[in-house]
Amino acid sequence: MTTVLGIDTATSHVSIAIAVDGVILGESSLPADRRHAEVLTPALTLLFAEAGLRPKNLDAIGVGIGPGLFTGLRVGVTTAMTMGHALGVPVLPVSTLDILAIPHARDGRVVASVLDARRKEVFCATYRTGVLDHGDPVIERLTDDEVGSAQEFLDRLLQLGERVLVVGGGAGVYAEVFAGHDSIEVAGPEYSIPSGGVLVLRASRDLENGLGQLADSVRPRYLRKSDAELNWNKVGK
Amino acid sequence: MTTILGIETSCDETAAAVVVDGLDIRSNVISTQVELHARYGGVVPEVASRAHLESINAVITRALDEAGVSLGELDAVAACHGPGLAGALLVGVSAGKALALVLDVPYVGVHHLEAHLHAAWLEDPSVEMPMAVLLVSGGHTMIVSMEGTGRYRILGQTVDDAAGEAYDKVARALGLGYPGGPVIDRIAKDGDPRAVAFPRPMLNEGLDFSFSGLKTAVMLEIRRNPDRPAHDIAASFQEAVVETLVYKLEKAADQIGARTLVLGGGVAANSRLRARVAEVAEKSGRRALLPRHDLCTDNGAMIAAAAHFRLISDGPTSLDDGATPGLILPTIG
Repeated sequence: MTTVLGIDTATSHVSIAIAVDGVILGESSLPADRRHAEVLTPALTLLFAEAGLRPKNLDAIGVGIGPGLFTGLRVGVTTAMTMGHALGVPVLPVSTLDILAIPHARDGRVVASVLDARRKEVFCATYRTGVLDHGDPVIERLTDDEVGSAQEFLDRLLQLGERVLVVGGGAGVYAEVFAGHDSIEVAGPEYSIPSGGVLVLRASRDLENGLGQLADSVRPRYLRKSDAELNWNKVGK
Repeated sequence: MTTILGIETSCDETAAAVVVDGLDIRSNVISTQVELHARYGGVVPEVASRAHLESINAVITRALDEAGVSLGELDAVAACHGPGLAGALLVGVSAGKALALVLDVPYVGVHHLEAHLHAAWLEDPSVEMPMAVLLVSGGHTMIVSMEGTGRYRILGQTVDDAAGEAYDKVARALGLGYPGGPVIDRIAKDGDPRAVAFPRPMLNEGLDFSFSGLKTAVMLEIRRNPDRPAHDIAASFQEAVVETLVYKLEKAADQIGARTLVLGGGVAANSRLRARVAEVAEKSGRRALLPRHDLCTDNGAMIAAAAHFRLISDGPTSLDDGATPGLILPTIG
């Protein structure tokens, strides 16, 4: 029996789930705003209790490594690293943009996963989706996780010359940017929050494929340097 | 016997320690980020937070190894939950709560300044109360009357810069780099503390401090007399700071009838300050309690020690506790 916990705190929500042998036992997504640390630990306590499990039953932990807003992101990553380290189990890092795209694997269009990065920028990645002959969905990355202006990202999507579905919290924040193009549809707000269930199933499959990492080696995907480093580089010292 | 792991990540030290029964330090591991921040001339919050995340588990593991204690032997896990830098605090708090959850032991969120107040106790548990404690660092400058665990009165504090901040700014103006405290302390030994008569701000105005004006006076002096040796300026500046701190600490001790003078915080590692507090204590027949260097600067042992007493008086901290950058020291008036 393989028990996996999933944690994502890269957005304004805390999303968690537990799966046993690839079946979701329970999941929850809670609004956190800037209170990820306050929300996450009690939510985990409740999830374990309701699932009839204890942390020591875990075989692995999947964690959303962003990109996302730094302070919240670090709460989930630190928690997953520390739990994994203490339990001696592997951690599976998963891009938060993947978590948002995966539910649309059967869509068939190009899926663009977008999160608000503040400062008029988005974190984004694009995927090719579809269904194989025998009926299994397939989702393949077309780009790495990137950060840039929403307008630039839109321009690149238009250049693809394909139909695109835009998902994730950034789609709503920049709705005006993405609206008014025949080839581009913005998914509904029900697709704006990363799902703990999607994360934990992806992590379970990654674990089977031998992608587990030493807990202490996992790092958030910041994509941006700190302001001080950026300013320092500008000065050119 | 209660064995507590204490975690401290409020600023630029990633620290963890194991303390038994609030007094017996089994390990005290401190990983400093000072070199990371040196080129910026001060602590950069985002840089600090990232570095905490990268070293927190290694530091915790080393603290357990050095103590010869396994995770399963911990009776509680404590972390500093404020005041401090939000992103930095959250790494320690998240790690502390994650461990408490996994081990099914109590979590204790500890006030950073309360922890510094307990560092002196770690040196000598038999010390007589009340103590007059001078907490002085890059972020704080205050005098506290400590009458026991959880029984504190703030008698005075800085109205502008912390003393350590003034050290950093003066060091930068003198081209001495960052952090300013150790380097000014070192070169001041070769300087004349009477070379420049810098002001002793607010010396006769209660127990509050002000270091902003002194810092400006030093800047003006550097501009007016660019040829004056840096060690003379450093020595004169340090003398003004130390004289002010020590004068008010003694006045506070008189006011509350304290038999013990205590130093805490990063600036408490300053050799001139330590020497002067020792002298003044001896002259007035008091005791000077000067914690060793790794208990003055930010450390996990003080967190574990304070947590031990908080656990007895208040019980565990709820797991819905977070980090509070501007957390106020709970006082009794």
